[in-house]
Amino acid sequence: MDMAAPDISAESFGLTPHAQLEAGTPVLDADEGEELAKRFDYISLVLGDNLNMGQGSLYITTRRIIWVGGTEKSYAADFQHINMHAISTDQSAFQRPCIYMQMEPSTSGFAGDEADTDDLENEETPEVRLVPSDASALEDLFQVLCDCAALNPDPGQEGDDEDAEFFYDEEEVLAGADDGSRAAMLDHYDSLLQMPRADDLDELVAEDPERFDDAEEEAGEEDGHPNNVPHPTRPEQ
Amino acid sequence: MLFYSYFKTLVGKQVTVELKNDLAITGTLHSVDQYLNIKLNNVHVVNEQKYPHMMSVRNCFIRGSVVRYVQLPPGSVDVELLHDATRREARG
Amino acid sequence: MTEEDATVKEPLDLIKLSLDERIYVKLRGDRELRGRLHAYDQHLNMILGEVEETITTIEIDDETYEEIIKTNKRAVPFLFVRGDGVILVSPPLRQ
Repeated sequence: MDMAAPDISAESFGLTPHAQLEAGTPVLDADEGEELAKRFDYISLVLGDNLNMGQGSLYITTRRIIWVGGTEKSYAADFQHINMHAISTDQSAFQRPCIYMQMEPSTSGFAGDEADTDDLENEETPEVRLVPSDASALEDLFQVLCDCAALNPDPGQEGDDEDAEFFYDEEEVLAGADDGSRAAMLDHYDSLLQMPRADDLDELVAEDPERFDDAEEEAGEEDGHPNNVPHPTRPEQ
Repeated sequence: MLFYSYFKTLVGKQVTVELKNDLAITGTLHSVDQYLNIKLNNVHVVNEQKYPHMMSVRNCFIRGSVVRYVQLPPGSVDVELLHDATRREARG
Repeated sequence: MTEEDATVKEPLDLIKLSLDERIYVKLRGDRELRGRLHAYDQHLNMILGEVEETITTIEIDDETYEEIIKTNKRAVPFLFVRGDGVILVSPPLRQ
């Protein structure tokens, strides 16, 4: 039996082949707190529009979904790689009611991987369908998927993180602007702060040659000597 | 927290969620959580040519991290309230 | 504006000074926004009003191999912008 072809296509649909099984049941990562939320039987897995992998059991855990179609046929996807899921009942799109999912393209690694984000926008979004033999299971299936997806936020996107810190990523900023526009933007922030720009200095000194004479001596006593240290006024724009 | 609180006030209103893969989904906001995962009801897809399969889905769950924009209904944006909330949050 | 509000200690304080002002936002994917800043948080999630989005695409001419820069603009009344796509925030550039 040649398993290579379907596995390669599964990966290009954002799925990981060969989940670890024991007696036909997926082995969960209990050390990481993974628990089974619910098992749904008689679920067909369809990749893209029509690559039907057959019927099997879907295990929805607190971390991922695992579809088992036989001892040699299983696929998993972490919730962090399921970008959206929906109940689709549009027969013009697919002949049977199903859960329609858009997956994170597997080549780009995790969502938020900076180097790949721009490429990702041009990539085809993998589509996967879960088709229950009994359409009345859809609502429940959808809800369990929602509940478990919500347990798996992306790393670094905590909703209300008290410790969240602003960090600088110079590379990222440089990638976003050439030197000229960076300089212009920095100038704008300077003007917002009402600080004279370097090229305004001559003008200020020309207006009042002694303007900065005492600056060094008076450092740390800004408040004390209004006559000796004139408060710099905003330069005319 | 600010945006989570704000989005909760939009529940029941129509919004358009634009994903980073250019999919734009219009629907009634059903719920939102603290990670800004979004659930929509009565969904339709704005750029149907690129994603014909999405044309008619009933309910939809969107991972917060794949959202690029959400177009907000103009009638439900109280800018003064947002300014106040932003200043409070920035101070806290 | 109170004195407390005007104190600039960290980068986000600069953005606080832009509240209710028109700002320029550069995003991943060659997108730019111009709009009025109504809300933001520490992730740089934002709500902008009177938004103009500009998408720049570069195509290579089949025959001359010259780069053809195309821009698409659209207007949106109110837009929530997710912070993880934001590269840069600044007051609008003077033209």
